[in-house]
Amino acid sequence: MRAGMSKSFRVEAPIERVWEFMSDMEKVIGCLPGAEYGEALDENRHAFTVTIKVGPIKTSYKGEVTIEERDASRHRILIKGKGQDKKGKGGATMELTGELKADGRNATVVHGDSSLTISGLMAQFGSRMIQDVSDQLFEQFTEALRTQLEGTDDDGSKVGVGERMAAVSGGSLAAAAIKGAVRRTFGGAKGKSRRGASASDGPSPNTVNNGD
Amino acid sequence: MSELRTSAEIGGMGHSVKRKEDPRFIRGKGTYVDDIIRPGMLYMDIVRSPYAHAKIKSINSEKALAHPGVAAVITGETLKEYNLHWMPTLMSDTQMVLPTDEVMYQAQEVAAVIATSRYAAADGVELVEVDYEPLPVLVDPFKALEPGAPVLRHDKEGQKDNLIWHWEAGDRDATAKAFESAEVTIKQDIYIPRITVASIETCGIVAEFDSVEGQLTCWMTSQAPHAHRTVFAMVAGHVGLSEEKIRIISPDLGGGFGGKVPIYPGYVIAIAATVVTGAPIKWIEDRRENMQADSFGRDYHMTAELAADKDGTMKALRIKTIADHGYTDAATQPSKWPAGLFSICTGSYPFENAFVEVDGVYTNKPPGGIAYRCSFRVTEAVHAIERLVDILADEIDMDPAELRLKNFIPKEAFPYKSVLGWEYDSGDYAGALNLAMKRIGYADLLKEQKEKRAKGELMGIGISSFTEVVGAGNSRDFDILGLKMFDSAEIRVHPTGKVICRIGVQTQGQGHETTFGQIVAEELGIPIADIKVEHGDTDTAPYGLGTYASRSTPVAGAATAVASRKIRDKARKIAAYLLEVGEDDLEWEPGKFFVKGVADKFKTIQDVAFAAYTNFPEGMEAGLEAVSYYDPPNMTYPFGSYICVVDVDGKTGEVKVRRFMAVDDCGNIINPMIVEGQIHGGLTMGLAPALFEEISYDEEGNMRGGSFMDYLMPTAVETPKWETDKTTTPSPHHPLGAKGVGESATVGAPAAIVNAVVDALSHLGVRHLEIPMTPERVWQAIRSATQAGNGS
Repeated sequence: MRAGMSKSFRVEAPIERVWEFMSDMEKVIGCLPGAEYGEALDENRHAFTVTIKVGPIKTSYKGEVTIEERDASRHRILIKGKGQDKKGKGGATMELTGELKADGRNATVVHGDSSLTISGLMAQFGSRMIQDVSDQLFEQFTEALRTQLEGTDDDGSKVGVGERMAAVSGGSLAAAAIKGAVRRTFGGAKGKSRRGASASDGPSPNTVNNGD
Repeated sequence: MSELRTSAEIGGMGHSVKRKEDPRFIRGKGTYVDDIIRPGMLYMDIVRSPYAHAKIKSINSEKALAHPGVAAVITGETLKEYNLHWMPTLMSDTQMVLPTDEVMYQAQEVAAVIATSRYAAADGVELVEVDYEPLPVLVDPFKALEPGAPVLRHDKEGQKDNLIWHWEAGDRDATAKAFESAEVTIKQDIYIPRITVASIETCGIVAEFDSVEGQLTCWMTSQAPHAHRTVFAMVAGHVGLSEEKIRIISPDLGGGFGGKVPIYPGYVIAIAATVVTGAPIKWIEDRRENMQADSFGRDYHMTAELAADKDGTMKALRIKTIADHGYTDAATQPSKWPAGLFSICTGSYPFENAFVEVDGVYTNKPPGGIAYRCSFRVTEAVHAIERLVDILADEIDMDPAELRLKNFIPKEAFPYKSVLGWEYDSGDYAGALNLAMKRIGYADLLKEQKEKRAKGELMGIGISSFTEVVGAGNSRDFDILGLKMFDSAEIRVHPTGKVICRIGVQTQGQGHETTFGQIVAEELGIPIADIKVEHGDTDTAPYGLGTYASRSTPVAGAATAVASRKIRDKARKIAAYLLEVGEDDLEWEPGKFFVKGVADKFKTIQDVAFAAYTNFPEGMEAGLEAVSYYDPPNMTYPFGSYICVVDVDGKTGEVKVRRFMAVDDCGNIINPMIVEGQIHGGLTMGLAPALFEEISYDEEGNMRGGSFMDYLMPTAVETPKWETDKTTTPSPHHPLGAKGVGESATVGAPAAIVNAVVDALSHLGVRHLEIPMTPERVWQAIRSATQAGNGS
């Protein structure tokens, strides 16, 4: 199955600092919930693992990301990633384009376009939630990114975000995703941020997942 | 047949004898494959592909083999050593048992883990590491047919595209001409989606090889044990499994519906595993495997056209179909036509011209196509014609019932030869529709609908007047890999007058132990309580082709009647000898021969049975038994008219079936209670695809609907109260006048439900709806019709 996303967010940090951060795969992967940076395979290829739980399905993807394009003058970066489930239950590919625009001297607007392709068990069981889960992941990713870039000094890169974000609760992700789906269906959201959704104010994931 | 010829005690045809198999089921004493436990038995579980199309770069079994309890991991390479990694399908295509380098659909078998417990086997499956390289996926059969599409079956020599076969029937030119000159023509694209039978018992096998005797015994979920035995012998003959050393036992089956006809790789792997390990191997699918990998039903993309006069007289029919068969043609239908019996699509109407063509296509989906009570594509055919009739009615603004009554093949015209070559044995289509209209109060419903529409309420009435074709087959047209589609019965009357009747067909819940006993009771007058019916063990039952496509009563039922009559003929000779009269002086009434005109001079069948072993005429062989292998002269053609009434919620799109009146005609009935049960079940399996069930695939070939989370099988809650009635038009060529009924309702019901929902929305401009008619789909149709209406 495929899920696409096109979103912008604002970071209170100068564009060059954001660009530097975004060009560092270790830092970027560290902001992704459930992801863990592995190693640099060469200048543009990096190994990583990411664990995602959607409803009854928990999948650990092992894969690599490649920086296909890095245009410092336009502040544009194209990243491709692919991964396979460690237990052979499926795989995923991802393509992400990030583009930065300065918003004054101390702020940057990050625009991201991504497409995600998923095969296997995750796609079979999570298909109705994948879009919302990926939206949710994006929200958490941007939040982590902000934490890294806003309000810290030049040593912000030293913070171990990866570790902090590694333990993503599948339950809260699923609950937030359900909430997203409910909002979308009944038209209440109108593109509002879904930040703040949590397990406590959403239905239990078990109400839709009978196989866990 | 309206009158009963036997007493309730004898319980012949027409008696609602309680099912003899039920006491063991309701007491939990049934024996299913999973109940079989053998000493030293090992368990198998299967690693399946998450990808719809991928290259297998490597399979690493090390971690799995290190897991406690895991005894072996079998891969394609293992089987290749024995040349068992490929097998033929029942359609003479080829299929991987286990792949050596490429997987072709999601959930395809990749490797098998053998372990000391089911749990250890499942753990082992988790530990097998398979490295895949995903390849481009083709899920859309139309894209698969485009020039330049990747050729999926590059393993097949000479295969240059994804077309499996092209098949056509009828006169293309004459039909085209009829369309050109027609006053009215209509055209509709209709898609019948994939569905799965999801029977309560999944598939499985216990395979046990005795290496000393070279004997293989398989308890397996098989609707066709003998045919499977022969196929195993043909596939594995080179490794020493010859047919006399293979015994297949099909114990109690928890539903089949065509899902237990194919030979799945799992069976073959388990057999290979028992031969290699020397231990009995049990493999039982879990629910997900059953839904994702087993034979599906339907997946027909039809473009259907009908030509008629302005007054509604139907003239010509044309249907072009793209049939998605998945990775291989494993459709398990035994006719000589690749699209099965689809050319029955002229239905209940006397078309002068018709032309059908079907392209079978390979895609990256599981193989199958013939399952789910479909009568070998009759469901698709009925759906097409019965939808077209309603669209024509809408086009010429005529009542759909009136249009049908105007066009039906008249009952005097039988036997009727259809333009596409079928010889309908008997029918009274108007009789069935008139009865259905009377029973449901058609005129009142029309009035009610008019009033409701005035109030803005959505109510619809839908009709389906279907013609079935069942009873494969005659040996001219039907075979499985050359095995002719006859069927068999072997009856022995014991000295005390009790009977064992063994049959070549295989019950999966149809109640054969009861109904076949009733046939013997009818013919010999021996009480049903004294008759034991056996089937499913290839060492004891006579050779038969199994139960599917409603063929048991038409074929094996006929064989049972014929064998009984052979016994009665011999019994007459013995009775004449005992009564010291000529055979011609005897008259038969169920249970006894008596001397004409002398009612108290008689011998019962039990007297005769005893004499057959103790006091028989000189020159006669002892015993009282007979065998029949029956090759039917023709198919039988059950039919019926169904009327469905629905209420549609215009705000949510929800469809509620308010009433459903089913009038069936399956000829003479053996057991009315069982027939009614068949119809109830069949109607529910007609409702299911009409409103709920669908298996679809996303672009990557991921299956949607592979669990009950997404696959909405109706429960009693969603199922309406079925109203049933019958007319009786015996088959002129069947010894009992019976026709077969197992699939009629599933074949006939969906079109009635669609016609009803479309009728509810027809005044808004809706002319067709695809199935399943989910609330979303219906709501969208209402919305776009309303918007179109407002815009104009």
